Amino acid sequence: MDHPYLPILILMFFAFIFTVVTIIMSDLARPSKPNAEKNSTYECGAPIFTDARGMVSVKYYIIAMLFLLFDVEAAFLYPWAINYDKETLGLFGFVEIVIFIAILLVGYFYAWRKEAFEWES
Amino acid sequence: MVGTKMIETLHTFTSGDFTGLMPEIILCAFVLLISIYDFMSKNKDKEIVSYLTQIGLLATLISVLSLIGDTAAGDKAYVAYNGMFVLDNFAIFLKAVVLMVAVMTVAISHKYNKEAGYESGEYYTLIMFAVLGMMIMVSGGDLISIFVGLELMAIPCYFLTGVFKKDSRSIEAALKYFLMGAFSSAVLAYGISFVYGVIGSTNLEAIASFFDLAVIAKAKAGVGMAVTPEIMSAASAELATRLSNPIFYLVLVLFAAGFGFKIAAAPFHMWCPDVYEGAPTPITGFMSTAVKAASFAIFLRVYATGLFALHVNWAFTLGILSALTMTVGNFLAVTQKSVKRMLAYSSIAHAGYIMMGLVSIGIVTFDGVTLSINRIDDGMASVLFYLVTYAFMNLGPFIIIMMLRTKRNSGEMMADFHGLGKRAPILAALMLLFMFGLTGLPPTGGFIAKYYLFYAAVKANFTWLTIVACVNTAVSAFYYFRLGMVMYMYEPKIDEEINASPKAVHAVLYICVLVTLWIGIFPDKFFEAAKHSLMRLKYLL
Repeated sequence: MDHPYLPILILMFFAFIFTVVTIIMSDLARPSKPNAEKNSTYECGAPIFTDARGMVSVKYYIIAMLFLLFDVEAAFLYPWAINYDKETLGLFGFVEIVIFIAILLVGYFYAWRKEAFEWES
Repeated sequence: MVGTKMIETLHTFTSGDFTGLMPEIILCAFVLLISIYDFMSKNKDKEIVSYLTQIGLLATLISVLSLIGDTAAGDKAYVAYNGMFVLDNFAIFLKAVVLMVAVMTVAISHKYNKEAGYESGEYYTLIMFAVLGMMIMVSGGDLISIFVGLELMAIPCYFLTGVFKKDSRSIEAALKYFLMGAFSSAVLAYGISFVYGVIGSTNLEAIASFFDLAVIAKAKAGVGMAVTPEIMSAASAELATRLSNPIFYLVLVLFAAGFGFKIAAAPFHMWCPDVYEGAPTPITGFMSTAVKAASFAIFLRVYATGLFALHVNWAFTLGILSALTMTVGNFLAVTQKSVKRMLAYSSIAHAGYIMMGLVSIGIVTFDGVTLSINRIDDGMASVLFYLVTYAFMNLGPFIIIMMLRTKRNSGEMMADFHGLGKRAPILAALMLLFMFGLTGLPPTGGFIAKYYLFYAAVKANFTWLTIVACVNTAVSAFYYFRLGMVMYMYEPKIDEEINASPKAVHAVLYICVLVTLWIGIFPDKFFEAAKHSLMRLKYLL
């Protein structure tokens, strides 16, 4: 009974019971007067105008992908910048990060050249 | 020689010793330069890009071959980045095979794509990226670097499958491949997370030593202390507990699903016929040879090093998967009307045969007291031998399919092969030779390779599997020879002239023929190379 994860199991058990009991209790206790307005899908109070399965322009996808690419680049630069130290990394570390950025720049120019940034076309 | 370094010598960041990584660096530089050239030039014709790609791949091949001397010492290897990257004979062997196949694929692609109207420079850079992924993968000493390499290989392959953008079959195949491939990678990653959870490392050597009795005993005895019999028995009890941890069953199931997908083993083969049929023919050839070889290699490396101690648990299961794979592949191939699809099912069947070698890498003996596993070198060597033979033997038929394409006919259907003996006697004869090879008849390499697999399986007490494989070979003979019958005994259905193919395509076709025959007649050099490449894998346990 002294397993370290036992409290978590107990917590999960009570969380489950609490949820189920609350839903059932509120269902029993509350008045039920449905109408068409109430039964419609809740979307932040705004009226629903189209189907959710609409088409999204592929441009959003491209922008998202490019954002991700350069976001990850920036994320890699942080640990490098924090750990940068003349004695340990020195010129070698500097050249390495320049190569890293150069590789990503090739991707950037590729996207540019392929008109991935042209919103109107 | 710089290359003969053991672990722990090259994990400092500043050392700057890139000898063992040179092929990857060269290839990476070529990919970047070629893609810069490609998107900066106004030239719509991509012939120059194709030549540059071939030069890049050949330069990489030369640099791989120049590393042979460095690791020939045997049990030593170049290990870098905390064991993430391992350059041993095994890696060199497979890198050479993959690069050769890639050079041949690029050499045959240009005219094919141009005629289909889908010329793009990305086609070539994506092939190079896929090859880079394979090279990293076969050099992976850690499940993480293997996974990264696997993805670097797989993602360009999804694109390459869909490179014929307006062909609905190509798009469908690419989407199917992508969705299923992404899912199977997730399964594999999930398995890796369990390995890390239990062992605390994803390094293959660390996993191997987790199951190593001597290592456990030493850890129990403490630094500099002798291992007494009491400690030894405590250590073997510990090892037994570790081996019977039920998490490893889960890991083995997840790994079998993840790797099984990549090599198209039943029941994870569903994507294979659609993808092979929809992809451009050179890419189908590339995927069924290079991608398959690299995936099998990593399957073998993981199971022969890290998970070898669990051989008792996985060998039988994989044996059943192997039997299932070859049976499903062969029986479904019989009914196909498209030759390309038939070859896809045949490629599934061959994955089944190769898995036979994979389960035969060890033999379990039980003397009444202790259970012990011994390595069978022939099992591992037979897999490598089969992979190299299959690479040449299976690329050939796809080249012939490619050459048969005309303006109105795809060249892929059985009807295209009707009466080929009259329309193109040489192509028909070569196709028949490749069919002999795939069936496993002398004098082709297919015979020797299959014989070696069967020999290893019998040696590892998998006689039942060998019998299943023999029956399957008989079934496969039916559809391989039916193609021969169609070519020689039927009247031609198509009156179109066969287009003249560029010299490069002919050259690559003849290289495939020659190597297939060469392996069949003088296999000893290839045996030696296959056996030699196991040196370090053996040393790991």
